[in-house]
Amino acid sequence: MRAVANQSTLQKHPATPLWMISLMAITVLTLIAAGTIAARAWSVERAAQEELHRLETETSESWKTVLGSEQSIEDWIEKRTSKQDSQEWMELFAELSNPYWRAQLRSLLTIGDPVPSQEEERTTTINEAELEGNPIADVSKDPSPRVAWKRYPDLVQRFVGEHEELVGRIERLCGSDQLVYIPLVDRGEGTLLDVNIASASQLLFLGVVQAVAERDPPKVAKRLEVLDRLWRKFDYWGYLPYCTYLITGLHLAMDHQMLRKDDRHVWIDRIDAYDSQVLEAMVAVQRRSDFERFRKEVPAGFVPSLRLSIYRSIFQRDTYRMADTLLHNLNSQNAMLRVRHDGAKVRLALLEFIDRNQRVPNDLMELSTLGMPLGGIDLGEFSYELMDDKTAVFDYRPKRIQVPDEYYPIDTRVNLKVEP
Amino acid sequence: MSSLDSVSHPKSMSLATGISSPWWRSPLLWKELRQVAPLAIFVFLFGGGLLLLTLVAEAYSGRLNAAHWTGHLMPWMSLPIFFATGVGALLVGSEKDSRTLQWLQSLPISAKQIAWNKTIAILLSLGMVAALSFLLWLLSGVLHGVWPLTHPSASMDTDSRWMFAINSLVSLFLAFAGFAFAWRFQSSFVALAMLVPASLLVWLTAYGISWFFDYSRPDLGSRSYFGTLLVATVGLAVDSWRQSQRYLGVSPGGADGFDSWRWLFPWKQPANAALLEEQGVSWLKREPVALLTGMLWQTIRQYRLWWGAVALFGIAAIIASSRIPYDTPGYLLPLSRYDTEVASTLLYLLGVAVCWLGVFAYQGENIRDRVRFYADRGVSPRLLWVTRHWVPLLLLIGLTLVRYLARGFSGLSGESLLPAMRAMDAGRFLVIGLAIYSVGQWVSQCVNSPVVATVLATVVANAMIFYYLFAVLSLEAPWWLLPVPPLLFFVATAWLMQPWMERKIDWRFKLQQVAWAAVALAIPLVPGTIEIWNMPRMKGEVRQELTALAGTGLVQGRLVDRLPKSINYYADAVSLESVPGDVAANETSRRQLRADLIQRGWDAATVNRWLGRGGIRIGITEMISLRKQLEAEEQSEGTQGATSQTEYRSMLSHFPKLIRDLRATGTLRLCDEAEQLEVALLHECRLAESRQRMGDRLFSQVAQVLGESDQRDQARKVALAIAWMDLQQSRKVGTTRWGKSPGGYAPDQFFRYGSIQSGGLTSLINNIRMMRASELWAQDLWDLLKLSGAEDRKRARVDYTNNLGLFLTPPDLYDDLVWLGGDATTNSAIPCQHWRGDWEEAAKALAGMPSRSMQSETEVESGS
Repeated sequence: MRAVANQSTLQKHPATPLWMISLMAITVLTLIAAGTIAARAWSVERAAQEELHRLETETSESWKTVLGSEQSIEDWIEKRTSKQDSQEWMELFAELSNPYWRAQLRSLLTIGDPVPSQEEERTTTINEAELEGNPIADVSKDPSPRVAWKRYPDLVQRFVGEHEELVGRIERLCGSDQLVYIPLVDRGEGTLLDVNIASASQLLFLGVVQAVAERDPPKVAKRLEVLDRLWRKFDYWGYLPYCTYLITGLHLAMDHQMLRKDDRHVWIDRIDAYDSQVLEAMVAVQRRSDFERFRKEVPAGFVPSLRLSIYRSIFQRDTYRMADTLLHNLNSQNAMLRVRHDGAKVRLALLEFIDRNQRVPNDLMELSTLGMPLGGIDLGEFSYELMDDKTAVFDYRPKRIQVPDEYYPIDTRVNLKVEP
Repeated sequence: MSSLDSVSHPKSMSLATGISSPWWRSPLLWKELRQVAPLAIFVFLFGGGLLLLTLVAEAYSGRLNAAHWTGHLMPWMSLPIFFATGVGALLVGSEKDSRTLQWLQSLPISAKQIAWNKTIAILLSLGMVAALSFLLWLLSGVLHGVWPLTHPSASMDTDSRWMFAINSLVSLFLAFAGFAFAWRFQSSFVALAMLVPASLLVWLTAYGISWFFDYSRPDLGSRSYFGTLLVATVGLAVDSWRQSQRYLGVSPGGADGFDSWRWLFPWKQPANAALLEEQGVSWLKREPVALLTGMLWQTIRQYRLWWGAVALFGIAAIIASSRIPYDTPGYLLPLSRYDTEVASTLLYLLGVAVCWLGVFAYQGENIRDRVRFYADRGVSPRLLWVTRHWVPLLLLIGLTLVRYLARGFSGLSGESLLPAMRAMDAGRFLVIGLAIYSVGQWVSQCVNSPVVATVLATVVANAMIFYYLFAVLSLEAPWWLLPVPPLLFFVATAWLMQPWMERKIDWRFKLQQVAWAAVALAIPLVPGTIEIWNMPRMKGEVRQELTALAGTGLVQGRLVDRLPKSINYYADAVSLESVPGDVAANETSRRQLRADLIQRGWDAATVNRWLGRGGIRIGITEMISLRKQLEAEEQSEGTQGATSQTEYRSMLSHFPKLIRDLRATGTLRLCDEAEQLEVALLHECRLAESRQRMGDRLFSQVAQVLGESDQRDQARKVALAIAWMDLQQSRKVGTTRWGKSPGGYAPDQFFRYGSIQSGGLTSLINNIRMMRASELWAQDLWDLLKLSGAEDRKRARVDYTNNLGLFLTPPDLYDDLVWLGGDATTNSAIPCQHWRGDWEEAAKALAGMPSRSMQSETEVESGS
């Protein structure tokens, strides 16, 4: 009987127990939840992939921005430059690639050890001067120049004199700001458009030194102008702030009253100390290089979100560091160069102020009354001591920004006097 | 004769009773050793495979050398640990499963002898595995070119000694723990599973002790862990002996401390026929259910405790590790000790648990061929497959949801808390979990023994980590191919369910499993392999020609081995005081050089004498300077400066011989310098008044040497062949030093030729590309020489400069301009940068120009 009962039980339609229904329900719900999470995760991966694609596009777009309307760097340089003197320039660079020039110029620009340091020497001098009752008389004296071109003026004169033809040739070639055409290998974003003009600018700077020594203001003005133009002729990317010899040459000319009054405005306009667009371009270039490095070093097989995470946590740091260094860090190279340029501009403005008002300003803030383009300059960076309404001492070496000593090979403390 | 047969042999019996033979000749011992042999072999197969994989990757990345030998023991110490995990449980559990232990008890062998032989077998086999691991380590060292025992890395500091001691003890602990639990529990599975809480208990105790006192004290963590391990190992060894004697001596179901918990463990409950019948009848009275429901019910009843344990442990591990931040780079906020030690260990153990979850899938039916019940009743293999994976996969998804929720409530900051980030994190968790599970279930179907399957699955899952590292880093496998192996592991088990259910586990079954695994593992490697396969190589005929050229002996006076390094002919001032002296010395040197270059007879100067004057570049610049001086004199005086012109002609007259001499050196760098001189001479010849300045004869001589394109090409080919041979012979020693200077250039200028670096230094593809870079370089240059069309040449040159990573513009003729090179120094010399430049065509055309009469030349000369 039991077997029959069982048989009839087995022949019934199979039932679905409650636990099975629950299990099915749980399974469906779990799968829906998992599907949602998976879809979300997938969307994150998609977003990461798009972000990586965007970064990739951005890097190439930044290059396109540089190129402007041109299709290639070859077109770009063809349109923006002149071939007129190109061959002459190429010969000049080939000639200056002789190690002779490098060795001689480096020797004549040698900077000795700062012992005692300028600061110590200055303090000692001031103290001594104060003790003698004449606070400003000998402040700017530089009894033992620690830079070769200042210590050995005869050597410089002879050297420049011997190579006057070469200096003259550079002067002739620097008739305008027009960029010079140079051939290049089009490697797209990796194209190097950089000409080494170090030897030429060093030679020109020694030419300025020679002209100052000869006390020939027109020659000084001419060579400063040529020095400026030399940089501009090969400044394809707008990195002008790096013209350091021009600033030293200007200070040297001002030290020896060799700078013409009419030129002050010109120089304030031409010393382009700080251009945020240039810095942004440099950051963009850095970002491009970081991204290239990232593409080369991180396996393409990683999931997009992981790649993006690696890019942000490791590679993008360099971009941020670069941006931080350029834009915010007080001790960055850019800050150092900017403050050097600012120092020259403030000094030019001071001379202009004294000429106009026949007195020295009470403080540097008074320079704003001149209407000169001094906006953006942190005047608090420079020390200014008012002695009386006819004399003051200005130091164009910055107080806070640490600039290496070799950037200031000559004494930076300047006596300002109202000339009759 | 099987091992058991040998045990039952009369002679063995006398041995077993211990009358005359030493213990190590006991057949019982040999039987035990044979029993653990499969586990040892499997562990070694994976250890050896791993070694092979590592060595291959190192060989192709240039790291299989002494400089890259680190002497790390950890990879090799993990093999005994894996073996120890299973050996104890295997020796007892498998005998319980196959019921041979009862048969062994029926023989005249004492319980002590059985337990003693098993203990000896554990120690012996563990020792052998450790010794073989040590041999593998030695072999690895020898293949790196060092004898590891005397290598500096062999000297261990205190931390390393502690690590070594602890890891050795961990093996013993795991072996005795497995042994003790195997005696205690009926199922070897339980014995293995109990290793996890036991290990955690020991580890947490040690961690707690070091935390309680002062974990920053040096060695305290190691000491407490070692001490706790030692106590636990001794305790478990004693316990295993006690349990074995109780089990073997009294009765298999003897009373022990676990009896009161017996209701918890269904497999420990006594088989009562009446009870079973009663249960059977009651089940028969129930409503009939669908097959799927019934099979699921059976699975759930069978595994409910295991799944419950994994679920509970998983939830605990996930919650405990939920605070590990996702988006915080280590340099900003270092992970805490808890995150790095506790949380990450728990996550790893969760991975092990998931792997074992996969092992459960088939081992429950494997024991005593239970699966036959379904096979005999014609149950669909697919249905069985689905019901075995249903709940575990549900469990995995559930754990994923827990992970998602736990990270939401964990107080994480920043990006980690964003739902999208949590979803991505949970997605990765699920994918990794599924991958581990797939390995576990695949091994479970391949191996019949639960113990071997469990240990092996753990080893394979760990080996898969290395496989994925190899696939992603070395072979640059795309991420979307990475799920293929786990997917195919699932497909393989589904595909082979029928033979498995029918217990046709023969060589054909195993071969199919291996084939599936091979295909699964191979697929992600396919793109990388294709890339390696398609990597350009040097053509056979080019190789032959280059070899023949290098060996012809046509080259006279090769300078490769005595090529002077960069010469500082002029010197910078040493100090401020020495400036006048140094400047004067440089002036003197220059005057002397000028005098040398313009003197008669200098044309007989050897290449070495030229190089001794600062190199060819100085000659070029002096020539330009002299000509500029001449031009200036022409402009200022309106006539040619006689002295300057003579000097100019004299200097130029030396160059044709110099160029031919340089070509004949067979040194690539000197041939390149000759070509740089040729470009400069071409420029001189193209100037408006050049013929007049040089004189017709000199002009013709210069034009002739410039027009010797065949000779130039031949010199290039020979120099290329020699440089290529030098490159072939170059062997990188360590990381920086190279054996040779191919063609006078630094070897590192070649080894990245054409290699678009990707995947970092670990990429096998990248490393092979770099290994073939020299071949590709020689091949490209060889092909470049054969190009005739201007466009083709230009394109090939751009490709060449790109492949070489050359940023500078090579000296050449660009439209009407001759680029003479900028501030070129010896350091920026680039191999073959002038090859097939436009200047060659211009030089050839120049040579074809009609020369002026000798008369006019004489006039010029007499005029001067």
